[in-house]
Amino acid sequence: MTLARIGFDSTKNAINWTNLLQLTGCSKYCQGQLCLFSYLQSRNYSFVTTVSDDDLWGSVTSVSAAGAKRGRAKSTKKRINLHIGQKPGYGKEGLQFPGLNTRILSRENAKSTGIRRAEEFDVLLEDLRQNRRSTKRSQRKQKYVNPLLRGYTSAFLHGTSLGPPAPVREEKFDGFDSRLLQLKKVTNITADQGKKFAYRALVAVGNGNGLAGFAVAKANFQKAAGYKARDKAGQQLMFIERYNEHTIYHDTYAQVHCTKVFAKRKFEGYGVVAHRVIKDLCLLSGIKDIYVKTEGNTKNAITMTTAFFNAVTHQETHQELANRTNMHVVELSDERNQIPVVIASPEDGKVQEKYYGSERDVYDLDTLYTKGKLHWIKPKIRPVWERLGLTSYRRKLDTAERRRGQDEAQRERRLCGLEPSREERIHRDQAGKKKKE
Amino acid sequence: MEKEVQSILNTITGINLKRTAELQPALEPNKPVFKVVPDKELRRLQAEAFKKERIKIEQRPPFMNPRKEIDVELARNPEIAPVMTHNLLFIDTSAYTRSEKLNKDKLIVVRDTEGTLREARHGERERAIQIAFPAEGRTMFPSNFFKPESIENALKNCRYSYILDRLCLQYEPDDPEFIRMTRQIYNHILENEEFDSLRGTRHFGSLAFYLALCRREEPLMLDMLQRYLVLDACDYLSLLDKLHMPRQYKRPDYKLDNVKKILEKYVSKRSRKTTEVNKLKEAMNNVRSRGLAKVIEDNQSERALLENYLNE
Repeated sequence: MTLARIGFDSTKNAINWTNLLQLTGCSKYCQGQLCLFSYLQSRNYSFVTTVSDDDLWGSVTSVSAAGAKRGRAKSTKKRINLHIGQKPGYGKEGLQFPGLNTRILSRENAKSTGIRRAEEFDVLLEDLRQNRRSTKRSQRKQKYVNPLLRGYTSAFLHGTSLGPPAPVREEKFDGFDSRLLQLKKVTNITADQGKKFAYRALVAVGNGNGLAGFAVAKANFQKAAGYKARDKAGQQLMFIERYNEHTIYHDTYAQVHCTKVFAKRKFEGYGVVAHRVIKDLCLLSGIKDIYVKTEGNTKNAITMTTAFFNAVTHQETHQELANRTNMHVVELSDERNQIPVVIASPEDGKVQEKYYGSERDVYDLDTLYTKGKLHWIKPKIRPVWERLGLTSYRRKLDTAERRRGQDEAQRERRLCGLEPSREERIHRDQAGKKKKE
Repeated sequence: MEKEVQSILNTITGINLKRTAELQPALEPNKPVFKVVPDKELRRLQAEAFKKERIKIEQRPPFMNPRKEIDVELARNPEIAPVMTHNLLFIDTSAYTRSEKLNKDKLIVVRDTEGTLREARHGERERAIQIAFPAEGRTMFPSNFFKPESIENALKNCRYSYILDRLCLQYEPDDPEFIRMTRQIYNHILENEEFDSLRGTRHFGSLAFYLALCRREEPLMLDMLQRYLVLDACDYLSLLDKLHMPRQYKRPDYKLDNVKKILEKYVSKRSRKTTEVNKLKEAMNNVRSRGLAKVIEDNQSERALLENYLNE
């Protein structure tokens, strides 16, 4: 312990101002002697400096595993990061020392380095220390997510996009997007630490143009699990055949464990009508019009995605069907006035002459691959008031009966010019209002 | 119209399945039906499509003179006049049980405000029939589409078959309005020489007939020769003969010499305007360079194909 004559002048000043010793009758000589003996303790080492910061914090915050089970971890203090904003090797001035805090300057990386000023750094530190998130649960704010970037629910991660997979060697994954389909907290019970938690993420990746894949991965943090799964999915892509790039070739069915997926092809403009997980899969693979009915366990997203991919990758294209059966595949649609248009012919040119046996009925694309299986169709029940014929409903029907056909008739009148069109009527109303004013 | 004329017009129009198979967005779309068919069945389906097209083409609007107004009084009772505030119109709505199936045979009668009982005039007749026996697509009063400005706009966009279809829906074939508007459209097509837009539709026949009647068939002939439709040109010339010189009419043989004679006779007759004659001569030269015999053969084979499909 060194004696430091610190504060000699300050103690002298303090004694003079307070007039303490003078009041008690101390002489001026004694006052001076007392000033000489005012020392402040200062040490360059102590027990505190011999212990690491982890141990120090541990002594204040740690709770045993048994205690954590009984919920005592909630009431302790939380560790504060005092090193925030500061890194060994980086000082206030921001000087760059090649070899220490920057790469040794090579020909490629030779750039001029800027030097930050000390005050800027202090302001930065202040800012960081003030704005660090409070660890108290009551003060943790619900983070606000932009509605356009939302997932399935509020600020949760499932349903959100994690961006394209990380580039691997030459592959940059241009045009790829990902969706985190399911995020679950899974537990494992170990002998020493009791319950160990981890997060399991199911992520699907696709480029909206026929290439898609999915993967499952686990990590201790949510986002980490998501990124792991996303990068894994980027290594496991499948090609999905589409008819005219908007829908599947024919109705299909697939089942994995307890989850059944019935997929039906639809016309252009129908949209994707499916479970939200399958909607995302269709978005990623580029299917724009489809109806998918999932039955069984819809909570199991992993089986649902495997079933969907099974169904959609085992399609038979029109060309393959023509080759297999040696017959033409012809399209008859209302859009083309029911004129037969040949879509696919057998590649070797050998076409069957006529139908044999029951072939005329067998090749209906919408029942051929599902083998007659259909999803359960809910019977449509008319509402109660219609079934019972309640008086209020009958009254409503009578009032509607008086105006029957008037909507169509009004449209016709507007076409013929007997009634002003909607725009004209609005214009006239506004003109009338202006006159009143 | 006579059967001969009808058959000539049918052959000239031809059948253009590609145009009908063009994508038309439907209001209530249905997913397309895919059929797996062998050769025979495919031919059967295609033949059906051709037959449907031919039926559509044969539903040509008849070429009639504009009708005259009806002015028949049935009774005169001026003593009723003080009571009558509005005209009263009577129509017999039980027409389906009687023999009066055509619209023109239906009995429609009006009691005026002056007390006279008379047969309804054409305008009143049409409105009454539309109320009692509505035709789909027809509006009570002609819609704003048939006003000159909208028609001009539609003509600019070359939607000839659409306008003509709507005209046929809305008006009767002997309505003076209908005749006026169709003539206007045909003249517009003549000026712009866009005959191909109607080829394959049921209006091509009416257009060809109208031009033949007015003796303004040169642009159409030119168009046919430019497209190497030599047999169609022959048929059209024979139609002209039938209309204006019925005694000299003969159904031509499609032999090389005959065709040559007919066409060269036609080209040599034209001596009015040099530019048009030059174009005709150019077209003939093009045809000759390809080989008249070969062109005739091609046309004949196409026609034979069509006939095969239609007769299956």
